Formats: sequence, structure tokens, C-alpha cells
Amino acid sequence: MISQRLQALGVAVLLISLGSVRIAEAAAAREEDRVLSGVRDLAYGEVLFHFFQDDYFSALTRLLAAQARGELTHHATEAELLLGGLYLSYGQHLLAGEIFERLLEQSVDSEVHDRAWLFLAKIWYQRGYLAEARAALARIKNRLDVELEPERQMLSARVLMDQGRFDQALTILEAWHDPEAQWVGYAKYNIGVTLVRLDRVAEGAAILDAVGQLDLSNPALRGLRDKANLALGYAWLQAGRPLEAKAPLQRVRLNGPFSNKALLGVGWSDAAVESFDAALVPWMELRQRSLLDPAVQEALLAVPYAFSRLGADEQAATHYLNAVAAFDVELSRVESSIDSVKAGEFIASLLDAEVLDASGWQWRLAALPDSNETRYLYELVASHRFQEGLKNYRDLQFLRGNLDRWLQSLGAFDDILDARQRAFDQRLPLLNASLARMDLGEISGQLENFESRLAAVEGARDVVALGTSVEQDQWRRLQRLESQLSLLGDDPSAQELRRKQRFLEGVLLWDVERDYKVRLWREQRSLRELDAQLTEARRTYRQVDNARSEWPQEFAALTERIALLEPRVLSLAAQIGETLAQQARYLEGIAVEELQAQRQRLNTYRVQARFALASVYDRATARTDPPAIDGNSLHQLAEAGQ
Amino acid sequence: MRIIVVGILLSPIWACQPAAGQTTLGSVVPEFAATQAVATPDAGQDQAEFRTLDESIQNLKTLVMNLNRDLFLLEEELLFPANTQVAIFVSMDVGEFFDLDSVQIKLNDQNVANYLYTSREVDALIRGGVQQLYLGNMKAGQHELVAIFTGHGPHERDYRRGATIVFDKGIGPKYIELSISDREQKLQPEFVVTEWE
Repeated sequence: MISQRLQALGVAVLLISLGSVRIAEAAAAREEDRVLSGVRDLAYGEVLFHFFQDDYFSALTRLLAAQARGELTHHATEAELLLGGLYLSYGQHLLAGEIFERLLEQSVDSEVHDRAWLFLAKIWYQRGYLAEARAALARIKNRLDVELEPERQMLSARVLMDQGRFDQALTILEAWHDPEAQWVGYAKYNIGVTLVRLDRVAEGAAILDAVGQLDLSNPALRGLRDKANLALGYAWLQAGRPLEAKAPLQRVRLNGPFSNKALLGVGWSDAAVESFDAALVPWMELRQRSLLDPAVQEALLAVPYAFSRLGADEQAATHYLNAVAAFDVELSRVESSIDSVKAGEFIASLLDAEVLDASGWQWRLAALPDSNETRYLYELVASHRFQEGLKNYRDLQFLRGNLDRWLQSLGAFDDILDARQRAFDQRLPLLNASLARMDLGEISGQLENFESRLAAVEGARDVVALGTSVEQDQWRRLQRLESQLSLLGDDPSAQELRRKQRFLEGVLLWDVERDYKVRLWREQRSLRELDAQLTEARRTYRQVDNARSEWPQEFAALTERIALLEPRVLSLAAQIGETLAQQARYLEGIAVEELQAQRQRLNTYRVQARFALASVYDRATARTDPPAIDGNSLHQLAEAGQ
Repeated sequence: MRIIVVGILLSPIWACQPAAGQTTLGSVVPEFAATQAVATPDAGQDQAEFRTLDESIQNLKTLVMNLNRDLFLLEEELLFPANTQVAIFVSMDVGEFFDLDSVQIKLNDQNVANYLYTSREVDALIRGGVQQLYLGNMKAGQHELVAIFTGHGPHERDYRRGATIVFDKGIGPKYIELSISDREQKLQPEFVVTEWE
């Protein structure tokens, strides 16, 4: 019964460590824990004390220390599972995977088994380990509970889609017949997107259209609805069916995160059918919004383009000039952002306001600093690859701080050891003298002597020998009296004295006889106690003697450990420093790459604006139609512009 | 048709979990291929670089964790050698009838610990955690421990109870557990002191 409860506790702990207990369940989980409490190794309880406070690093340190000391005899398996969970919490997913592989296959609890693999798959997916994520998902044996099953299905499809296996992803999504109500939309959206990617546009569009008309009263689904409408609108635009694109794009909320792209698309759907005056309505609205959004940047070009198509060359020229000026300003900001990122300020600024604790893989950047870089890199910073990279960077910083603290302590360790050596040297003479005074052999001999005397008393049933000192004294006097009386004659007074002596002897014998058994038992008990004390004294003597003789070796061993640990700390601190720099370079590299892409896009727009402006001027002079602009010409112009 | 930008990359949803109730930055924003002229980063190469770094960071973390463990063990052995080590732990079993505020520990009439609990710590105790409240050194021999628990008992009444134990400290380490449990029959908390070897 106890072992079942303990296993259940281990399972509960593992599930919590895997982050599967959501806030709504937290209270219930606590109630469950209460019932399940029953820690039998103090060291394991101590690990849990830190773990339940989300102090994963302390929990991990104590767990590893307790394992090294062999203090987890009653909780070996749960501790190992918890270790896996803690490794996972700390981003060490490969080690966690090894532990789960070893332990979970033996676990009788299929729920724990399946949940663990799901969470491992999730973290592997987030870190881009797609093959590992697929393998982990394949290990899930049973249908998960209502909350996790949709996650599994979506994750499976998502992994396949990221691997480019759209057909397989579609098979999974289509076979998933009864998704939880709130997941229906998400599943359908993914099916729609997959179909479009497979060039089955009409089928995909029908599904996206359904998602795009979901009930707006559900706040959780509003974003999804917008996204589906946007995707559908652009799918139609790409397919050359602008009229069909307009309706879904107009369903996107005007104040939502997708409104800029929707407004741009609505404009293009009108422009595609030569309704340039209608196209100007959304584009004019759009050009007033933040220029950080590529859709707004594009609107700066789209507006004069529409004016020029309407023959309003003067307005077109003005807007092109404004666009060029705006792109110039924006380009200079992007340039300075690139310089700032290259100077290493960006990564540091991201973590400046963060508390450097050991909160593990569930950590996410809470707020972005208010700077140009973060405005341009908003989407990149939110991406998995950047977040996971930032987590690694942050973990390394925490570990470096931890090693710095140990480096300071190592100096103190030498002092502590020296102090212990001095104390030992001071106490050694006293200790030697005390041990020399303690003659346990003599005490042992005395005890044996007592034991044999008592055995003799018992054997002879010498009741007087166990009498009190007064009784023994009285007995001796009566014996002496008896021998003296035997020398007297046989007169009546002598007979009277002999009678009295016999009477008193009888009374005394009666008394000691009466108490004999109790006294014998007491004496035997005392001897047993003495024997036990002697045994304890021997044990203590041995321990003290051992401690005295072992200290020099212990001192040498501790000295050696300190000496060996210091270079390890220094070497790892240096490695962490190098890896931190590498990680920072990686993060800065992808940030610069993103900024350079934005710079290139702005450059392209600027070149295009200048080219179009020149065309407007030419046309004003020659009265010709405005030139057509397409992606290829843009590309050539962009290259020419650089 | 003269469309400057025609691209939209249809991005499937993973990060939007309806149950999470919060929007993850950027996860709901479709990616636009702003122009076809814009080069996209080489995703495969980028992922390989991420993975190489990630794996080396994981190896490094393992090395640091193991080093941290060794340092932790060494520190304890130096500061609290086994032959003088005394550790006092606090645990709670159920805790329906007692809401713990603080614990005071006296060893041989000397105040060695006075600990005020946060709700998070109490919660961790109730869920099965065991707190090491005191770790120190004592000579071998007989010692007296007095623990005073303060908090709130049944019906929100202020509650202050003491528990005393006289223990023998031998040559090896001594562990003492102060356990707060519920005495169901009397609807009162119970404070039990257990010696561990």
C-alpha cells in the first residue's frame, strides 16, 4: 500500500515537473499531494521542498548529492524520474530523454509514460529536433486525456508540416474526428493551410472559409478567425481570384493584429480589378499606421501607384516623395539597429530587466525593452528558435554566476580545512591521554570476575552473599557468636544464649532467603547493563581511535579534492564564457540577418519609389502610361539600387 | 495585374493553444514574403548551427551540474563533518488543523534558528517537502532540543506549542525530524519529534 502511494507521489511529482499541471488544476493537485504524502527518505523530502517552490537548480543539486551519498534508498525510482523531469525543466532534454527511455518503458503507469513523451516531444519540437520529436510522439501508446490529446494531434501534424510532409499531416488532421470543441477551429485551420500548400486551393479555401466565419463572441477564437480570413484572402489573391479574396479580407477585425495585412490585401483585390479609387480607401488608412509593419511600408508605394493609375500624377509624385523620405528615415534606423546589435547591446538589453533565477525551460521573456531593435525584431524575438536560444544564453549566465560564487568559496575551503587541522593538532595530545587512560581490558576483566562470582553464588545458592552489607555484617557476628558460645559450658544461661543466637540466625536467614530471588535478578540485570555499556564504550573507543588515525588521510583527501575542484571550476567558467560568446554571436547573427532582410526590403521599396517617381515625371513630360511594376523588375531594381 | 506584393506564407498554428488563454507573441502573425526579391535565411544551416550550440550547451550544463554537486558535497563535509553534524528537519503531514507561521529551535537553551514561513514554503511542506531548518555541529553526548511552533490552530485561533527531546549525539551524523501532523480524533495538530540515524 505504502509503495503504491509512494509511486503515485513520484508520478504526481513527475507530472508537475513536466508542467502538465495547469493553474486550474493546481489546487486539486495539492489536495492530491496531501493524500499522497509519505516521504521516507529525508533527503528526497528536501529535494521536493525546493522542487515544489520551483527552485529547480537547488532541487537538482540536492538530488544529485543525495544520489551520490546513497540517501534515496526508499525512493530510488521516483528520484530518477524526478531527475528526468528536473533535467527537462532545466532544458537538458537529451539527458531527460535518456532517463525516460530507460525508466518509462518499465513503468506500469501508461499515463505517465505517454505524458512524459508528449512533453519531451514538445520541447524537442520547440528546439527544432524534428526527428526526435517524431520518435517521441511515436512512443505514445494510448489516447491521452481530453486536455492533452488535442495537443498531441496538433503537435504531430505540426512536426510533419515542418518536415514538409504535408500529406501525412493532412492524414492525421483528417483522421482526427472528435477534437475538443475549442480545438476544432485550430485543426481545421491547419487542414486548410495544408491543402493550400498541396495546391488543393479550392478544398483548402472551403475549410478556411468555415474557420473564418467562426463565432466572434468567443475571444479565444477571434485571432484564429482573423488569421484564417487573412490566409484565405491571400490564397485567392495568389490564385488570381481577387474578387473572392475581398470578402474574407473584409472579415478581419480592424483593430486586430492582422488588420494591416488585411487592409493591404483588400486594396490589392480592388486594384486587381482596376478599382483604384476603391483601393485607395484601405491604403490611405494603412499609410497612417506604424511604418514598422511591412504592410504599411508597402502601402506607402501602393497609394501613389493608385493615384498614378487614376491619372493624378501630382498626388502620386507627392506620395512617392514622401515614401522615399520615410524609407530613408526607416533605413537609417534599421542601420543603427544593425550597428547596435553588432555591438552586443541587444542581447544584454533583453535580459537586463530579468531576474536571473533557475526557472527552467518554461521561462519566457516577460517584456521587451523599448528600443528600435526590439521594434524591428519583435517577431524574431517571439520565435521558438530565438526564445530557445535566449533561454540557453540565460541558463549559461546563471551557471556562470553559480561558478563565480563557488570560486569565492573555494578560497574559504582551504581556510576551513586548515582550521580543522589546527584544532585536531591542539586536541590530539588530550585525546591521546584520554584514550591511554581508558583501560577497557581491565574493566572487561572486572566484569568477567563479577559474572563468575555471581554464577558461583547462584550455583551454591549462597543467599547471604546477596544480602545487604548490614545483613552480611550481622551474619558474620552471629557466626562468631556461635563459635564463642560453643566454648561455654552446658549451664542454663549458656543454653539460653545459644537459643537466642539460633533464633536470630534463623530470622536473618529468613530475611535474606525471602529477598534472594529479587536480589539475584537485580544483580544479573546490572551485569547485563554493564556489559552493554562496556560494548558501547568499546565502540566509541574504536570510533574515536579510527577518527584519530583516519584524519590525516581524510585531510589529505579533502586537500586533494579542493585542489582538483579549483581547476575544474576555472576550466568550466572559461568554457561557459566562450559558449556564452558563441551563443550571443548566434543570436546576434540571426537578429542581424533579420534586420538586413528588412533593410533589403526597404532598399527595394526606396528604389521602386524613385523609379516610379521618375516614371511619373517622364509621363508628365511625355504623357505616357505609368509602367507596370512586378516582382522581377523590383528584384533587378533592388540589385541595381545597391 | 500589377501587384507589388503577392505572397503570403500560410503558417499553421501550433503555438496558439486555446486553453492557455494567452497569446504568444508573434505566433498568430502570418509570415509575409514581403517581396520575392528578399532573400530568406538558410533555415537548414541555421537549424544545424542552433543544434550544434544547443548540444554543446547541454554537455556544458551537465558538467556544471556535476561540478556543482561535488562542490556542494565538499562544502557540507568541510563545514559539517559527519562526526559532529546535527541536522533538524521540518515536515508536515496534512496540516488541516495548523497553519504554520514560524518555528523556533533551541539547542541546549541556545537559540539556533528562528524561521518565518512564506505561504509558498508552507505549501511545499504540505505537498510532501521536508525542510532542512538547521544544520550545525555538536559534540558527542546528550543534548536538549526545544522546538516552538507558532501559527493558527482550529477556528483561526493563535496557536503556540512546544516540543522537547533529549537526544544522544554519537560519532555519526544526527538527523531530527520535527513533524506537524493532524490528530483527527481531537481535531488538533500534533507535533512529533523523530530521531533518524
